[in-house]
Amino acid sequence: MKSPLTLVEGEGSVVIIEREGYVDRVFYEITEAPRFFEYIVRGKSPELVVDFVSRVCGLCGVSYTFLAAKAFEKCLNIEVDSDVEEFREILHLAERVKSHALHVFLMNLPEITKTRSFSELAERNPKVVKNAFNIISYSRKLMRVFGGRFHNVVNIKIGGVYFTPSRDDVEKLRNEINGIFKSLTELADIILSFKSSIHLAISKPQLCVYAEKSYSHHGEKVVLDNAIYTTEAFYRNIVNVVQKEYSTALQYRVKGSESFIVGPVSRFNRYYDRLHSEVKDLLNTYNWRPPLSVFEGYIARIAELYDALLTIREYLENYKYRDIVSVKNTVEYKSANNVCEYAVEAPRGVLYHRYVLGKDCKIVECDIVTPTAQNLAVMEDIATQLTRGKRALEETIAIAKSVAIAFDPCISCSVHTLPVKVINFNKQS
Amino acid sequence: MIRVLVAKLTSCSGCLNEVIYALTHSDIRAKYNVTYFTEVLNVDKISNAELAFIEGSITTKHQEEFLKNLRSQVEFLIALGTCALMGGVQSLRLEGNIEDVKKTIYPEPRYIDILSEVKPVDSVVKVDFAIPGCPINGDALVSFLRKYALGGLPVAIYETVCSECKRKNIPCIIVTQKSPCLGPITISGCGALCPQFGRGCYGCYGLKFFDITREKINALLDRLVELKVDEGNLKAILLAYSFKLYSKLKESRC
Repeated sequence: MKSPLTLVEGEGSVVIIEREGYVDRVFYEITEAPRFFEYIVRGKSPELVVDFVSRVCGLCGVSYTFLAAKAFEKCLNIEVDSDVEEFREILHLAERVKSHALHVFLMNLPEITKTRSFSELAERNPKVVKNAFNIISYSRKLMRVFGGRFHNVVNIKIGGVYFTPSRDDVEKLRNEINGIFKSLTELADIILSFKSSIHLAISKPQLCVYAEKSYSHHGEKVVLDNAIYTTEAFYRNIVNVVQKEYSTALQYRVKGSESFIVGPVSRFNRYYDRLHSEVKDLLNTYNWRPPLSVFEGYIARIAELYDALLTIREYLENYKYRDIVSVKNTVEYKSANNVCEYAVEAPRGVLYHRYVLGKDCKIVECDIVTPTAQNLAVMEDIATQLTRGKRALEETIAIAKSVAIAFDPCISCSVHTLPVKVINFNKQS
Repeated sequence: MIRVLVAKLTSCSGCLNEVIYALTHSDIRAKYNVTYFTEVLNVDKISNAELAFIEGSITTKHQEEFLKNLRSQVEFLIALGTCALMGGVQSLRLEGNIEDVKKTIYPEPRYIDILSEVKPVDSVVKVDFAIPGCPINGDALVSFLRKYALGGLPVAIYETVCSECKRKNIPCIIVTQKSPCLGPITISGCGALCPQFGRGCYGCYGLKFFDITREKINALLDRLVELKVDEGNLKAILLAYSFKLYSKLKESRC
């Protein structure tokens, strides 16, 4: 039994393996064609790669670009001004706002309310659509002012940025932001009152980028439940790519067996205390607190969206225009450590890049581990756990689809690293 | 209401997000009824429509069939973005043999069922209108939708990014900063996005196609190489954002 996935980014299907009419196993068949970014960056210069990798994903390109710049800066010993770093973090948070707004309002909300689409929902409640589009439009303005455009931003380079916004542009954003908080809280009042129709206690390890003081954002370490690892140790030694007998689809599993969760729920459950007090107060009104289950990801996304907007507002209010574009256009590469790696919390979870540079400072090897590729194993495990032994009916497919939407897979992101065999279901069954 | 289908092939969904942006305009929602758009609509079957927007290039047999079917269901097809028009960044994989490319990433390359080519949309079906860019300019899409609803089409403007700089009074990056800029050979449409921030154009809207020649490209590349720009990087950029055109023009130089 097979059905296309909708309300997710990219192309895929859910496949139910059934035995004598009962579900045995669920997996997600990714039909999106691979794009081979790890191959195409080979032989290219780091400054070129920073812009190229943004094209992996139309939703989270800043995460890719920011991460690549950070990875190269670390290994090439390029120091970055703290103001520049803060500016780029704000641009990255603007992307979190954009991605979460698109996901919660256009994909989660129709799914939770069991409407066919956001437009159908909007016909009954035009205020919902007005508020949602206010937030999406504002995220677009943020991305344009800080990054140049809505996606494939043009304002991150190794060692810094290309420009800083004018006072006027920042002033306009500042004048508008309180109206956006109004739209957000009105929408949050609706969304936070919804309970997920699927109840599942958290029993899977959760991974996020380790943060010493702040909410999880970017760094050189990750934390899996309570164990802290360097990104190198985790992605080289702890997590393994494994192959299951029913498929040649590779998945990331801890020690080759246990699946784990990355994404907003992992970040929220670990770093809830570090959210702004306004966010926690709003969540408390509706009795939301950690641990959230993966089916309550929309709660974590609303919390992170609100939290990111509060940080952005503080930045806008204290913005002191100065030319922070101090780094030369061409970076001189000296004393290169030839392995460049880093991790960033993309909207959907931990994104990890590893580049190996040759003597000419061009890329000879690249590894990109995306959030969706990491979540694929746990998506299948949870979907199987919820449906195994049930009659293989349309309702069962609906549950498996709900699991996919809850995880917000970004299939365009995942396919260049996610080897998938298209299984002939008829032969399997 | 004008019925619209929105679909993607091999791509990143960035241009589709500009379609979503266009739909945030209430006047556009009032004129168009989107009946297929799997990213935001829980509908998985294509049905007849007047318009279709397609993002991405063709890299599988299945996509080729899907696209032909889509074309047969619509009256007017619009190709969105660099991948659909030129092949996209993924075209850089054509620098290698497809089997070798697969092996660099996949332990079981035999299961990866893709074409050895990366095909732009117009190599498989008729395209009625094209909006360039990586990603496309969302405001250009909004403008298209408004004009189409009135029964017209945008007037095609055959200019380069240089023209946009001149109109906006932006000092030439090559002349004033001695920095590389692909503006002289890149099609307009972005509003001189990078130059207005002091950054040279990196050609993400693709080569201007109407009067480009190998000689013109080489003349600019020679000038940029004088500025100590890595020629390999320049060629990679031209292939990434203009594969269909540049791969035909480049032979004598490479």
